[in-house]
Amino acid sequence: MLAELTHRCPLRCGYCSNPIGRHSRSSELTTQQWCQVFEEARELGVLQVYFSGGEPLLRRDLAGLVAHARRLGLYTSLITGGQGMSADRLADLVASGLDHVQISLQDADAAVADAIAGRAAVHRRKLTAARLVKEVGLPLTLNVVLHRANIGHTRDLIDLALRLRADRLELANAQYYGSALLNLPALLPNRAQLDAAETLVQEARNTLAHRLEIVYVRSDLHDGVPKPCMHGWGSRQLTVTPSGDVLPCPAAARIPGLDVPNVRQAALADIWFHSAAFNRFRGTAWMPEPCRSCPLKEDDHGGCRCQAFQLAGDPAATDPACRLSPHHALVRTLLQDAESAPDTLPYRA
Amino acid sequence: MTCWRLRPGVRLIHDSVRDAGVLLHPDGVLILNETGARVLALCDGNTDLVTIADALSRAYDAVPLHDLRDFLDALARRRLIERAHP
Ligand code: SF4
Ligand code: SF4
Repeated sequence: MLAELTHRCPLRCGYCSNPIGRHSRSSELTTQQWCQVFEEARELGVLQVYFSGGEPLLRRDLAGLVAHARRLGLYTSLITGGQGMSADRLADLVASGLDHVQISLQDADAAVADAIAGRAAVHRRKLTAARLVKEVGLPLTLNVVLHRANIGHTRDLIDLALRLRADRLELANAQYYGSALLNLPALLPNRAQLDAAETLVQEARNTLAHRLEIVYVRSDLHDGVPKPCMHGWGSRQLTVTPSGDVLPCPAAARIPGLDVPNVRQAALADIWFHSAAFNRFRGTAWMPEPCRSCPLKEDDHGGCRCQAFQLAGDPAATDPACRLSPHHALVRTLLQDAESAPDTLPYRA
Repeated sequence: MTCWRLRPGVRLIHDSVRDAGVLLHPDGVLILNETGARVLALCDGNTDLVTIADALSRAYDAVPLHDLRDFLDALARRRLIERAHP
């Protein structure tokens, strides 16, 4: 499960898909409420908690929450932007049983990275945080969202991951929801940029297999093949937002008419098995054509519901990224615009 | 003598909900069958392959050494276990 402890965040990344200013501190679940959520999650069979945000380090009770989750037997990962990570803070988290840390980077180049994050000295603090994590011996994942302004630096990002002794590097092409969708023409890489990055990743994987695991998340817009929606809607994952809303997908809050359940009103198991939100796109019965009669429907689950809504206006439509979708022309137009768009840096709208 | 141990950040637990051994790691989970869980419990950095095979053979029918080796190699490729030098 993804535990979004807070939506407060010191950074302002142009591709961030979190809702802007939707939650204030006062509407966040309390320590006790989160502990209860973790207990119910473990009883339901959940094995992993990703502490995320916003910036989870902004929750002063983070170490206590990690300790509680760990006592229940859950694997605990911290997903952080690295700001506000100190040796003391990390020591507390290690003592609480934290298993793994993932730090997001904007770029390999400090000036570009800080421009993307919308604040000075962000990159330097991230590097410090990464070194601290390795010093205490925790596994470190670096995560970079790829877009037009940084995809050309793929080689540098791999080198940086090696210098920081990271265990995993995730290079994920941006997904275009929320403010990222508004910035799409400035963010979307062109075909040549994508091909160059993919070649580099393949080479690095072959030569570095024993030192660094590189996870590459391709762009689903460029090749007519939708990305699978998790392991299926309401199949293995759930997200709890700062205010206790429970979502089948971290971006699902913007799907209209979802009737989002909340842990303050219902038990997690009840939400998982019986809520309308978790059943809405479960299985394959909801699918329209062409998915309904497509042999790939069990593999990609019809693609992304959020993308279907944002691009085609209907969350139950076949993902427009799929070349079989009746709305696929929309994606082609976006790609053509991207081929001719100028190289500008994406700032948050 | 080859001994194996779990890589840092990888944990073996018994999940009471599924009543199964589970390997937890940064990128996800691996749900184990009974034999797999028993093998991994012996990947403590001090127990060599032959000793693990012996222990299994006492609990089950004889386990061929090469099957065991394949299983462990596959886990090593997924970066879940590593060689230890006691
Ligand atoms: S038609 Fe639907 S199921 Fe088939 S590939 Fe496209 S999105 Fe996937
Ligand atoms: S709906 Fe889209 S964003 Fe949400 S989990 Fe599925 S693929 Fe991901």
